[in-house]
Amino acid sequence: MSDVTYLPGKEPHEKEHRLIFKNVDREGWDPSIGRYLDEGGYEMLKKGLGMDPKDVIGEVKTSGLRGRGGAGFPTGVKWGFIPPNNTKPVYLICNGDESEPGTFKDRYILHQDPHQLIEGMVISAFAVGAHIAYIYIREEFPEAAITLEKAISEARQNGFLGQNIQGSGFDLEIYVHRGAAAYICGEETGLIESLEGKRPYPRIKPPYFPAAMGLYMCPTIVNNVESLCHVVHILKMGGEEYAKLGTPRNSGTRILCVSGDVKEPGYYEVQVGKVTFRELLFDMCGGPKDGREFKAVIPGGSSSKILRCNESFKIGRGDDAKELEFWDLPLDFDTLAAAGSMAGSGGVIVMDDSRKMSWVLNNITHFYAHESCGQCTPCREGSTWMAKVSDRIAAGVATPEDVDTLEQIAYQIDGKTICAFGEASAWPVEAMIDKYRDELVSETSSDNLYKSTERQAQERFLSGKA
Amino acid sequence: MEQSSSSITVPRPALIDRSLVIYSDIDVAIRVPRPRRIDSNEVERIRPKLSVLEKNVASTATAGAQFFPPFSVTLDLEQEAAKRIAQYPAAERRSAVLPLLHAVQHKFGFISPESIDWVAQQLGLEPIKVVEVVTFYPGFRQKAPGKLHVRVCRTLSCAMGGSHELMDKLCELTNIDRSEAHGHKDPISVSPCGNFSVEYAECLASCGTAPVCLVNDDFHEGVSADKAATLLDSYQNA
Repeated sequence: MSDVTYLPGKEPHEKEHRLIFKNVDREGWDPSIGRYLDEGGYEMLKKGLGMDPKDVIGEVKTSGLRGRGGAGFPTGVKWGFIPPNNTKPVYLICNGDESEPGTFKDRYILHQDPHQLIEGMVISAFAVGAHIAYIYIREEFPEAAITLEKAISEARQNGFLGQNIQGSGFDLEIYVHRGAAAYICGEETGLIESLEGKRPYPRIKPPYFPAAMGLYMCPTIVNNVESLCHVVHILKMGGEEYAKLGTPRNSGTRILCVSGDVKEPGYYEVQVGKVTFRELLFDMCGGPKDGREFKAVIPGGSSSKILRCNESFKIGRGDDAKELEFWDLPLDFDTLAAAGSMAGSGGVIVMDDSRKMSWVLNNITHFYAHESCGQCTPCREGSTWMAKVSDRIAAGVATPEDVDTLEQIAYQIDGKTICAFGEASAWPVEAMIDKYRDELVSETSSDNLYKSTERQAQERFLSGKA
Repeated sequence: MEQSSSSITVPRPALIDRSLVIYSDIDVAIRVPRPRRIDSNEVERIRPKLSVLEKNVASTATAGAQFFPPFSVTLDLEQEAAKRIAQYPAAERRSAVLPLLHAVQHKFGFISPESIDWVAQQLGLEPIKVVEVVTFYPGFRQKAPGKLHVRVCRTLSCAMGGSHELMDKLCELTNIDRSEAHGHKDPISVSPCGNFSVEYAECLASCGTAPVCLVNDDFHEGVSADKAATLLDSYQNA
């Protein structure tokens, strides 16, 4: 490791632990297979193909790897959901539709280290018994699609893909499928619908669990780019050794993507739960911009609930319960869930005291109004209503009741939709009203009586002037 | 026929506050209109209106169209189509809708009605199955963009980094009027000369280097408003 040098200004912080991002922004690195093989690449593929598929799944289960896409579901457990008496073909899909605002980790893997992903995918496909795998990559990465296709053909030429890989008798083909700029394709069943060439309307679960009824109604495993890359390192280190990284139940490393109002935004690969907000934002990201103070942090992509920097949280139950200040919260799945938010996709968005919450809220509601797929009424209508109400608040023409209306709409979307988009659009609004109600209300006035065009028409009619 | 022209009478409520009734004809008999007889000459005179479907299939003409060839089935398009269709199981050709549309859009700038028919024919689908995909995804456009199509990220981190200022500056430099633009219905605005077009994109996934934009297929990071002119110039010289 000591001979690895990075581009100037891109050196990792001493608290980082680089596994996945070892080669990102590295001096003299390029995404070719030759460079990857020089670094001992594809050795784990040979090791993995020599093992029993069940042992590979066992290692991943032992490692405690939790999916890095957002939900944090254990990857090994997910792989075990394929029905044992299955006779249909199994598909593996790599979810490269990185679209959660605030997240930008997969971009670097796809652009700079495609062979790590391919190696992880071959091992994973072998473990779950898939012979066709798709990489669903978002449309906004046109360069990455070309890089990946080149990497795939290089891997095939070197016998790491195709028929009888490395003499093991295992066949696998990987294809790149480009999406078309829809956020909902990040939802796994929506992604499957999109891959089938339809509108990406998510399917209802149950019964459509992808592991049983996924792509073309066959068992399908959908994993995030980062999760699939971790599989390589799990085999390299062994499941037990890997589980020692991080904290219990939150093993391994994960890439935190920091953006917004900090001095040094960027990606930081750390052991899960070993870094607190104080260390991340002050030590690693260089603190707030000059003359500013931190105000709020969105810890896991824009759909996670916002946290106030001057809050404190009660974490744990019974004897383990302790009161933690925001700054002392470690960034792991369980702590952030206990704090009422989620670790999500690792996209940390930081806001300082120059930001008006009404403006932030307005930006986020417009994102969700634009990206709702329109399948379920509460979400389709509600997300647009939220955008319109937040428009009024941001423009300073809202009444205090508008804040309550907004909250009501959010709670009527939450939990009433087919996929998790409903929660994703409602949670940020609920949390922002919960934590910044006073600030939002202070921007409204009861003098601003808002009348919709319908109401204006009604009033004209009633007054006889219609 | 006479029997069918009955009228339904709604009993009038005893005490009714007139000011609350918005549709005042609630107590008036609702008559079922008898079908009007249309003579054949009249049919000739009725101008056909665009159906919802036709509206969605149609593409609007823009000044950018001069930079893209009209749709035609070329050899390399057919080769690309065959390559993409082969990626999916033979029974699941429909999966290739997105790749084929990408191929068309990359070559011809936008998805025209003829290309929708061609994609449908290649995959053995009803054209509506292609139309529904084209109209859903923001990544497909039904009008020609400019020669340089700039997509500026407007989501939270980039907005905090100044993407709205970048967009204003780009519009100022290229004479683009965004007043008619609508995030959903009509996101693309083309300059009068057809050289440039702009669009707001949702999260381009590079929040750490905000504000970011895509110019055609090239990604640019850290493009603050003062760098907009340099960015456009770099393409002018190329």
